[in-house]
Amino acid sequence: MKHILITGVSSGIGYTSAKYFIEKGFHVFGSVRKEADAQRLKTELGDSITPLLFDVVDEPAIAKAVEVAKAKLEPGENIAGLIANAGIHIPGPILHLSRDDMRNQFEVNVFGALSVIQAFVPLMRQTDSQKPGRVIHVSSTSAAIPLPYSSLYAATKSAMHSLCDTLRRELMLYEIDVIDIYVGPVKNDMVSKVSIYAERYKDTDYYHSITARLENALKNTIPKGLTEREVAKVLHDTLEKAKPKHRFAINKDWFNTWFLPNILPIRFLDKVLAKKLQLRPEDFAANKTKEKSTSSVGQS
Amino acid sequence: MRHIVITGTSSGIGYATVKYLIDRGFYVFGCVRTEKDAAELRKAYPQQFSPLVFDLIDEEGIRTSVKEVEQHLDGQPLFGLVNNAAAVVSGPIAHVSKEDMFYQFEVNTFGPLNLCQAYFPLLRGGEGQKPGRIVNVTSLSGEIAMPFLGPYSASKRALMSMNHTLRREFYPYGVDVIEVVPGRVKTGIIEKLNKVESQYAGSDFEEPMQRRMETAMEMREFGLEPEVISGAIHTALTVKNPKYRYVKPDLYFKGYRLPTMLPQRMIDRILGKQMRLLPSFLRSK
Repeated sequence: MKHILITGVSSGIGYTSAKYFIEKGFHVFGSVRKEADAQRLKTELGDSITPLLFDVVDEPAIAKAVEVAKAKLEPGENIAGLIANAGIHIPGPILHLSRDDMRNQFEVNVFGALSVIQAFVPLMRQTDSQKPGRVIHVSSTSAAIPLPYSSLYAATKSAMHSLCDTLRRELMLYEIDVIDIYVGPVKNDMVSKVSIYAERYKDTDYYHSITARLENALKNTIPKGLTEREVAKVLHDTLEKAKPKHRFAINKDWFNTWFLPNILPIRFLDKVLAKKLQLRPEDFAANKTKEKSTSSVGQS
Repeated sequence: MRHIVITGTSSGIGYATVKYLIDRGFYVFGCVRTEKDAAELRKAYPQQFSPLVFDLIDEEGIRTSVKEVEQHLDGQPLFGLVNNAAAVVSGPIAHVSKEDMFYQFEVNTFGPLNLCQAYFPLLRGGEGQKPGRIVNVTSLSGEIAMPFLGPYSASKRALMSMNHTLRREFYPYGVDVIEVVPGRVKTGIIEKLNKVESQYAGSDFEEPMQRRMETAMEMREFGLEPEVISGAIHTALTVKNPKYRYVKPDLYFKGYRLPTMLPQRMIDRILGKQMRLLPSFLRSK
């Protein structure tokens, strides 16, 4: 039996991947934060999934989950793959985010991901009958192209880019490979989650620009995005491939969301983005005058 | 007079940069952790230097420092903020604790971000004033992750990413954000590394880690003079159209071009051999 651990399987890419790996004959350990999600997964996906109840920021709970997984493995079996998928996105203009926002964003996406990898490395080591396991980190194209209002999220993915390099080089000792996959826009409900946040910045200069960015995402980026199943397939293929690339990007609208931003001179790209996202000095000035005129109308 | 706030001025690049900028007529606020760290500079330049005493972990201290600077500026805009201070947490990444990770990022990533936020109003200036610039000093380690420097490299990589978003988000205010990326510099950073070694005795990484320290010690005499980086910081602060980043590797070809150009799997093997991280080293034990 081949075992795999996927973090954050209650929804999204994690959930779809768990399903996909089960179809391919794997047994999946899937981390969830809530007991209710654990029960739901059991009913929906059956015996091929063993939900592990932990939050990636909770080290003692991770340690307990390691014991649960260990008990489930037959002698000579290991965990063939760890898919570090769990992540959060705290959006907003950096001027208006707090140090606690920074801490939370990094604790889940970086320190938490690392804790899980550290804890499960011993179960991924080579056994008499099985090859050493592989770590696959689900990253984002924003690690290469950091966009406004996703600054902290992009920074965590960049930090993980570096950590994946370090892990790959150091875990070479155990022949545990580490692969970092930049996933482009995905068709999912992430947007409905983030659109609520725009209202929080109603009183800041960035409000119009944030709205523009969201509208652009809803209209152009998300509809052209990958499906979760396409991502799941790539994760599976990467695990099974004899010689996977250490890092690669998957993208639907490859030319516009990957090739172009990576090839343009940075200062030029800045200008393009500023225009598109209404982030130019003249945009802010125009918003100011607009607001002034509406407020004076209100007063009269 | 042009005023600059620069962090981490007790030694290394920060210390050199204070002198460099003062020699060119700037007034410098140097951030240090203790009053003692600033004593020498204060004595040497009573007219052009004032220390700001706070720790990058301490948000309240950061806020207080802004008030001090604001009072001193008395309506003038701040010419520049240089995020230079950094700590180095090293160790085998499979064993580095979460506390150590937090500390590393608090100092190298969250601290600088917090300063960008806190000093933003002073940098932006008032109506009709020319906005100031931010210079973030990162590291080539953010580009090329060397074994056993995982936490440090990751924290610098995160700051590199933030440099892009800060620059894009501050663009409408005219506050430019520029990155300076130094390679190896002759500073005391290697001595700082030495202390951690014993912590990982007994792990599979003990020998590779020792090997790494040995090479680091052999190389300590090599590297750039801190003034080279000071020059890059000065350029970033003063030229009319600065580049978005200035990369200053110690060895341009061997230390920068080659490792970023070669296939990464090949670099892995070269490093693995150098540092005894190939699987065969563990098997032969």
